[in-house]
Amino acid sequence: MFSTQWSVHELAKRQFLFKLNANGPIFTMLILLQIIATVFLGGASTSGYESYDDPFSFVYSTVSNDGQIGLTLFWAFIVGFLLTSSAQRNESFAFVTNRLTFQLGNFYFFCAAALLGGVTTVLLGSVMKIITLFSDNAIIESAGLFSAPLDFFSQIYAMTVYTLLLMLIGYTIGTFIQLSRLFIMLFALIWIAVTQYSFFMLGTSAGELLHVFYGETSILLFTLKVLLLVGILFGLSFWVTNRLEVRNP
Amino acid sequence: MLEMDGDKPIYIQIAEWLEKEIIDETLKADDKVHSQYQLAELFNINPATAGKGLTILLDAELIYKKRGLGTFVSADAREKLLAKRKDRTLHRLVRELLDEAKLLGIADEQLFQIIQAERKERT
Amino acid sequence: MQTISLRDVTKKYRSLTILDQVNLEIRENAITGVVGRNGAGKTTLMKMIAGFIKESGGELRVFGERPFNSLSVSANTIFIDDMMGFPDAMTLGDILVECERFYAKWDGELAKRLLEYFSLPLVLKHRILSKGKRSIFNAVVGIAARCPLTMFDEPITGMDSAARRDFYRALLKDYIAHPRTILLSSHHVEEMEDLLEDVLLIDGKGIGFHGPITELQEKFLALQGKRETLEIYANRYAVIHRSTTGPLAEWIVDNEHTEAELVALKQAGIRIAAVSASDAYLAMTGQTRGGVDDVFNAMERA
Repeated sequence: MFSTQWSVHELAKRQFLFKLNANGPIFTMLILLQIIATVFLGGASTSGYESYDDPFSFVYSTVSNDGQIGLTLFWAFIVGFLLTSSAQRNESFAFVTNRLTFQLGNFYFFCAAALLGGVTTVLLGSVMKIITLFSDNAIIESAGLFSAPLDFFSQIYAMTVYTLLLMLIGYTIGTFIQLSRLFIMLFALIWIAVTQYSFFMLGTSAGELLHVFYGETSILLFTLKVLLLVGILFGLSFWVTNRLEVRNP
Repeated sequence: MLEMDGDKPIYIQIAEWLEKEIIDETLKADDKVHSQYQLAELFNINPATAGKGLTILLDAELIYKKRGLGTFVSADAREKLLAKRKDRTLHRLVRELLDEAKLLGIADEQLFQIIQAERKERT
Repeated sequence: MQTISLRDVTKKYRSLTILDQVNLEIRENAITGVVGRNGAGKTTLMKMIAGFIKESGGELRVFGERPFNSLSVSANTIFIDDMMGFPDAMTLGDILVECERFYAKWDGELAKRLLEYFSLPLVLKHRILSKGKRSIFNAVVGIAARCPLTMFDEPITGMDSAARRDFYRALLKDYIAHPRTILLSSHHVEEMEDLLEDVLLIDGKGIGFHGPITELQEKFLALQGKRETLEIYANRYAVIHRSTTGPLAEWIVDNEHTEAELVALKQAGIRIAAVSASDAYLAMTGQTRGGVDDVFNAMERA
């Protein structure tokens, strides 16, 4: 009885392409944030003066792109949150979609945005090393694309994954808030609890909780843990999204 | 049906317009009549409403259908219409004229004079 | 063939009932005007049909499928209203490209030509459009998408009268060339009535009337004359609405008179007129001229 039929996969892809076209400013925002981080945080290079007993003394500086990483993760959270707005939903539902293809389109978008965020952040780190090299005329000992290619790619991988996770966290939180404003209270409480040293009196600090991820040395286990968390976040947010009424003031 | 005062429903207007076309021989016997879609375009109305106008003429056998070809004017359509007009329209107009004359207190002779004067002016 | 069917469909928001046990069938390829007073539930009904909101009870089927979360219903349906949002960053041209991506029967050429006719350059951004221009753009999208089920909710909001006339004409022409099921809601029944085949009147959380527009017209007659005359001769008919314009009174009554009765009314000097669909609608929903007078009359008496 239908003259037009789409598969979920095909429509999710089209919704993704639409999201890419519609959300150009999100990428502009990322680039701007990274420029700001590079210029104003000065690459967060920390200097030290090490003095042993005479006759040797030297100045060292550590170059890190923690500033960019922080800002990219912040950006990721905001992007995740932004995509749950009712305007975003109305825009998607102006075209052909159901709630599943809408969510999948968003997820693909997050993957693409996270990859971009991961690659640019790590590359910026290399750029800053080069800047330091020229300005300080120093020798740098670190993992770069050519000195340690595997390390370089694992950096990109890890950064992309963290960006994606932050987006999904922002997205899930945003989705629940869309369902009911009361969740703002709940999330605020959770935030306070997590940032306290003792997490629910279980003796696990928030740091230890995060350690599950950043302390993981096996890339396989890391991937498994990430996939598990992505699955949980995707499932939670979809559970809500699948019920939402759209284009309804 | 009793004649209405004021605006008639649009499909009756369509039927009357087609009747007029037949009477003034814009549409002759066995000519193809506008389809309901052409009428809809012409009058800016829903095709179903235009179809209703055509149905009135079909029911009165003023037009006939040829399967797959369209609708055509019946051979005796004009005669039928003229007879109907004489019978109904003219009588109605005369009735209205007489009602008005009565209201204004105009005698029959005076009415005849008005008609004759009007006719002279036209020729 | 039915495009839409509802069986005892109810929509509630907590304790507030918007639509109560509605039964309805919408025929394929008919243009149906959806009318009713503000807040009657027209928009709610259409949004349920589009699958945007979920029915609280009953059975709702569009093309034989439940619309909420149905991809097939979404692919064959378009719903145009002034809430229809497009991304801020996109130009009208960008949006047309997206339409092409999603709507199988999209006619890009028609959309471009219509936008050109309505002086809407493709380089404009959607967000800077005035209310009327935005309505025009959305309406053009609705026409060019050629969806088997096309719904317009108050599409003419903000359009000037020339644009409204052009919109109705464009819709009719494209409908004749490409028949589809169309639902069209508007408060300006008089402007769209010639375009309609059927009328669906939503009233009192349910269906007040549903049928061919000609049937709605023929439900009533308007009797015009001096009030005293009307009160003598016409009082035995069911009067739907009374109104007064100057010295003349107009009564809209049920059209259930014998020919003889009508002749008698005429001879008493009462004008008998057909009622337009919009007048019939206004009478049925108590919106006819002078209705608000009752409020002031009541205040004077108090």
